[in-house]
Amino acid sequence: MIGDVMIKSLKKALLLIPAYAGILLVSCVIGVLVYMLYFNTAGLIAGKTLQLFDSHALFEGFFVVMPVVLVLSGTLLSCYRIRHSGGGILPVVMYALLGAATWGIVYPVFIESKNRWQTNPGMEIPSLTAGYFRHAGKNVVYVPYGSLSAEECPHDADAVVINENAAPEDAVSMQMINYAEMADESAPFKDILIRETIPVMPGWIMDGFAAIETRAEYAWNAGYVNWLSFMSFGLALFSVYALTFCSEWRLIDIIYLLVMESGVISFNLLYFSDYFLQFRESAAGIGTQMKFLTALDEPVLVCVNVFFSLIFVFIGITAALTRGRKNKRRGI
Amino acid sequence: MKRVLQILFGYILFCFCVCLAAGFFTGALPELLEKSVRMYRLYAGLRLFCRILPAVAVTGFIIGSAVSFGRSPEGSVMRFSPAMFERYRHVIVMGLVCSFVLTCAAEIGTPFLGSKQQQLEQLPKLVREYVRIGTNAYASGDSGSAYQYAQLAVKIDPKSGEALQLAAKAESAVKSFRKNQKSAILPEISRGVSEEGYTVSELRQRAEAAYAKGNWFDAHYYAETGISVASPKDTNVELLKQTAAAAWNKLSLAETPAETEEERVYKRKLDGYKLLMDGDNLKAYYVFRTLSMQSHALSIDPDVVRYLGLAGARLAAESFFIDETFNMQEFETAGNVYFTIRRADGSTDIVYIKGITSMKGTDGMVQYLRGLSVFSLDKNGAYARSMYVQYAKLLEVPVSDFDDGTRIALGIDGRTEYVPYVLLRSVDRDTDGIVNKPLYCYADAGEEDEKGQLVLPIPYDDFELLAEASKGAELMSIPALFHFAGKAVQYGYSEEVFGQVMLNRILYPLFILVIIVCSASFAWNYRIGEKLMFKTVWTAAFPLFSVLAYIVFEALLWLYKLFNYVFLGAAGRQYALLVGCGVYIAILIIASIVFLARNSADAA
Repeated sequence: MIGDVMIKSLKKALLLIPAYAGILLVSCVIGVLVYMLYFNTAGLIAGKTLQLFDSHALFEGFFVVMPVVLVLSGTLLSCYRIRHSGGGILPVVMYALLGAATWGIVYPVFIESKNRWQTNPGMEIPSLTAGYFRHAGKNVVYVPYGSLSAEECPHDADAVVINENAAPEDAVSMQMINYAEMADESAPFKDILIRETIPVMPGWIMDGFAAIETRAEYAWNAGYVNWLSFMSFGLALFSVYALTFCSEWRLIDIIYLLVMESGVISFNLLYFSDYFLQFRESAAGIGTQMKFLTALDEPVLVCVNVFFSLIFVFIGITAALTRGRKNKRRGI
Repeated sequence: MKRVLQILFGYILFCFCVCLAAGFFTGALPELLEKSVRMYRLYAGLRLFCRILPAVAVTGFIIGSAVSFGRSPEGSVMRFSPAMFERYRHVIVMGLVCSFVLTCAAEIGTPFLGSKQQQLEQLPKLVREYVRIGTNAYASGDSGSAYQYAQLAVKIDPKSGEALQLAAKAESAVKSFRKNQKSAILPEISRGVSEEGYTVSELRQRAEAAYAKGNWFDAHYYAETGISVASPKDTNVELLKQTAAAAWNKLSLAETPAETEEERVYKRKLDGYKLLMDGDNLKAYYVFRTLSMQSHALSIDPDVVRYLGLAGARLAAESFFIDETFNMQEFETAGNVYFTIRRADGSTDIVYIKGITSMKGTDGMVQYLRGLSVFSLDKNGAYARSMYVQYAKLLEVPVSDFDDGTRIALGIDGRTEYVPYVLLRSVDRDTDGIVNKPLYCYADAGEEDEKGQLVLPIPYDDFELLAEASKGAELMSIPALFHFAGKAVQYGYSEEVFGQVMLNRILYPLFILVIIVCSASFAWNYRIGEKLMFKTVWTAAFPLFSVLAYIVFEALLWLYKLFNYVFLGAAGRQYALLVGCGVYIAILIIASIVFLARNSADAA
């Protein structure tokens, strides 16, 4: 009987490996394809043909999507575990091992390969098409002749400008327009007309993941101790899974998981913002008093991450034990 | 299903109240009139509700379904069980209802509330604009207009000190002006006088009858009209010429110095008639208008009534009255309309209209254009000329009114049935000399060609589409958007943009249905345990779930819009809708199979 349970538990634990690999692969493929579509649409100019496949975007997309998938891997694996729960302690141990492998091996290998393989984008920058009304600031601009781009025409050029806020008699005029400013305004899209129909991916999401990536690269290049400091972020993310033992309804587990994961990511990002400036300054003094912490990159952040990880694990273990006892009493 | 509905509507109601409260108590307000603040906040709350409604509905549906499936999971031991088909039926019904409600919220609710808020935001600006125009009118001595504008401003904002002050000043000026004016009974101008209504032989008969009665004006008029419409081979022409000559001789007898009042009036009528015959309809109109206002007897004089009506009707084809445009701004149906007209010679006209007011006229729709600018570029894109007029009147005229030569010269396509005909000159109804003329500027001083009318060589229906497009593709009606998407490029708009927005809006119900069916599978997988007690504390997590649902929904919407560009890129505008429909139906089928394949093994 115990042997059967152990075999079942082991089987469930071992199944986590292909499941995790599959989750990473599928997420990465979907992410890269979506990135390529976004990249191609962002490069679309009114009047020109949309490029559906772009090998450069596909290759570039891998290096953009993979770190996001790695950061969210804990969340994805936790969702899988909630869906296929049970199996005793072994799947939990396997979950922890997979988390350690992701942050200890896969992430550093990815950074190394990124440094080696990633190339600078060499995409041809398309020029704006003539004959369309485009918004530029508070005005509407009609590009009257030829295709022009910020690169071809870095200086001012003539265009018909409609100023909706001017007195009606002065609303339409020929003015010097800075095409480079127009290009800046439509960024990351090449054409503001296209940008107006697709919500730009919120800057804070892009900036957030870019900041995590920068920190990861910095930590890896600065040495193992710094990488260990950075791994405390991964530890906090993976330990949120423990909270899913708190509720008996898996839908609520999912909510707890996603909310707390968002909380951990937000804190690790906001820690470097002005909101936490005072906290960082006051905590820096404590950090220097404890000698073993001075070797770490951001000792306070590491301490907070580890502290919260321990809390999550403690809550999870307590909830699991309580539920186990309850089930025993019920005879389940 | 009952349980799902209870939870869904309960949760939607809760969120509705929260949104209204949020609308009333939070958010910075733009500049508003004091009386508008409450309504503005109400609209803000409702708009917030419409915005989050998809996330709220999905949350309510998932929680409701998770509870409903969890409490009665029986009959689903095998995949594709009858019990699952029964549940699927309910899911589809709920999906269709949600789809309908969410589409209504997106298509009607949000645009309606947005425009209402925009209207309230515009009111302070409108008051300032009326006061500004009124003040200018008062300064230039037009106290009547100043009073009218001040009254409008006071109507919108009764507490506006500036408006009240202007109204008081202008009112006293108007009163003192009225005291000095003689009252005159204005006859009703007989409308519909039309020389085109008669055939040549009828015109000859009328001319002869008028001659026999000694009515020389009518005799000459009918005879001349008959000559102008008759073909050279018409046998009536000779007789008409004779009648015209005889009548003119009689009329000319009066060209002696007028001594009596009767002779002076006759002389004035003759002057007016000559002007009318020479094609100076505006001057003719003022001659007969002055005569008509001179006395009651003259106001009902058959010649005066007839030729005043005729001059007025002819004038209506080349000018309009300034008072027609009074108070129009308040009723504008479109604003900031711009488009290009590309000519065959490579030159381009950029048309910009600050505001459009549509009115039902006697001969169909009439549109008054405020702040009309036509900015012309030559084939090299260089400035050629520009025209600006404060107000213009646009009429729908049949292309058949133009001969082939004119039609081709104007650049009107042979298949076009009606074109917009724009009157650029407006005149005062009573006083000669008060004229609002278009202001022309030229790049080359030698090239002066100032016209009082303008024919836009585009179909009239397209003009109406352009007026609607000014609101933005998101706010156009779907049929208009469907028609306009294919024509967008020729008017300076992007086909891709309008095509994509068209797909976004037409496929939206299908997109929602797919989400609801996928949510049903999710709800089944994460359903509540059959015997698990529902804890009240869990309800605290539902708003958090809505926040997550909102983020996921926005991400999916983003993907949906991105994919619609892909459909356009892959299949072109004509087939994109078909391809899009096919793809979403395929996803719906897959999602349905996934749901139907759920069984009890996917247990809580």
